[in-house]
Amino acid sequence: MQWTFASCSQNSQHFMIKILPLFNSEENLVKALQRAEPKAQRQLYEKYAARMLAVCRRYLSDDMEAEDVMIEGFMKVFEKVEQFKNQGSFEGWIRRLMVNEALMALRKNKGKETDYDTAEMEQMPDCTWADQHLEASDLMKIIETLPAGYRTIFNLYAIEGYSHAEIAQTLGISESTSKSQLHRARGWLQEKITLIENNTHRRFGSDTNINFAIS
Amino acid sequence: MKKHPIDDLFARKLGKNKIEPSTQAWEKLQSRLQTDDESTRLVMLPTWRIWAVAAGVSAVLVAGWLVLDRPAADATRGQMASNTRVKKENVSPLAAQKNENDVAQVPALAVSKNAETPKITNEIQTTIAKNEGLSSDSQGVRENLKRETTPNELAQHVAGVPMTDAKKVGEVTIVLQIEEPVATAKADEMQIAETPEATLSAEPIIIKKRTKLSRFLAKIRDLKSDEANEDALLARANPKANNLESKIDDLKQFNFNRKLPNN
Repeated sequence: MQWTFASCSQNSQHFMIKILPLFNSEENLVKALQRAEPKAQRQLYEKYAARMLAVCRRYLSDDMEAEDVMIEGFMKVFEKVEQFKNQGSFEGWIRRLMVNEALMALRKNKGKETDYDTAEMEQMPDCTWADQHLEASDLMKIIETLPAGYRTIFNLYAIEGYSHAEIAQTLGISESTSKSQLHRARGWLQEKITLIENNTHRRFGSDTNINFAIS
Repeated sequence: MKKHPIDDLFARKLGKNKIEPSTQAWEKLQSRLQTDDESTRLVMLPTWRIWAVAAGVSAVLVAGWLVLDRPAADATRGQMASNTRVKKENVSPLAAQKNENDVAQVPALAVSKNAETPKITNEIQTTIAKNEGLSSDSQGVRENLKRETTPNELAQHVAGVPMTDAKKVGEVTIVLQIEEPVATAKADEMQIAETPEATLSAEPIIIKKRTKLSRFLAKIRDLKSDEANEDALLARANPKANNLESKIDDLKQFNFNRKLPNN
């Protein structure tokens, strides 16, 4: 049996938090989930909640909404875990369910958002500066600025790795729409990154607070 | 195919990104799960519930049998001895049907009141022989008939009975060592002894247990074979029940007979 120790020191006192992984292999965890064991459900949540909230948050800019979608996504995972046949990674399967939940939520919100037209960037951008200076949280902030339509397609294509055909099928759009939206999304993001880079250099020198620059 | 730099940047940095959910998130999920569980639990539970119910029912049945059977046994030992005795005569139709001749002989014995004569012993002997292979009721009758015999007659029994009856003879000697009040060897007392329960109280516990079991088995057999015996079973459970009316005359007759010897 494997034990995980998470220790943290606070005021010279050591608090040892012991977490007993009851299902030490993913296969056992899946089997326990298929039996609807509450401990397994808790363990799955502990393991994937943060990652899945990050996924949902990429599609939905509202924190509360993203969390609700994540909860709904876990419900779907527990309901559909019977259908998981140990083909491919379990995390990938969960991720897909989460993405579907997020897309369904976006569909409900569709009327609220308007599409923006952006200048297309023809040449391949250089992302070296962004790669060195921007953290995940910064990139999340940038992605939030994207209109929902672009954001969805960018997330699906660039991060989730869906093909245009899959996106077209999932969203009920044509492949060409998917391609053009992705193109615009990239342009939008490139524009934002360049803006941040320029602002940072001009205002604060090379190593400064980027959060300030983004906003 | 090489990834677009923007795609690559975001995929690398955000692909494994984590955002800790609020503490309420798990509680929300848990409450959702619990409401879902309640609906599924109703479907899940009966598996063990069936067994629990089955165990409960069987426990009640066993307890009921033990409780209901005891008063019957007690009653026959005590004041109700005469009632059950009368009833017994009617209850054991097996013996009556198959050994009509022998049954005819027993009242004859009662009238003659000469139980100690070797002739009667012989008659009893024939009864025993013919009763072989019958139900436990008839076996009870046979054993009781044996008990009525005096040691002298027993000796004759032992001499006359074939080897197959050796075990039964052994039983007889045990009974005789305990001096029953009934063992006055009066012919009419044989009728009293015809109820196995009447003599059971004086017998060793092992025999009592076995006869109890055999009685239970006999009950089941009777229930299977003959519904008419249901009255008899009811009467055994409650001797004062309906069955008495039909037998009141027999009872009166018996009491009359019983007054004749000094008791």
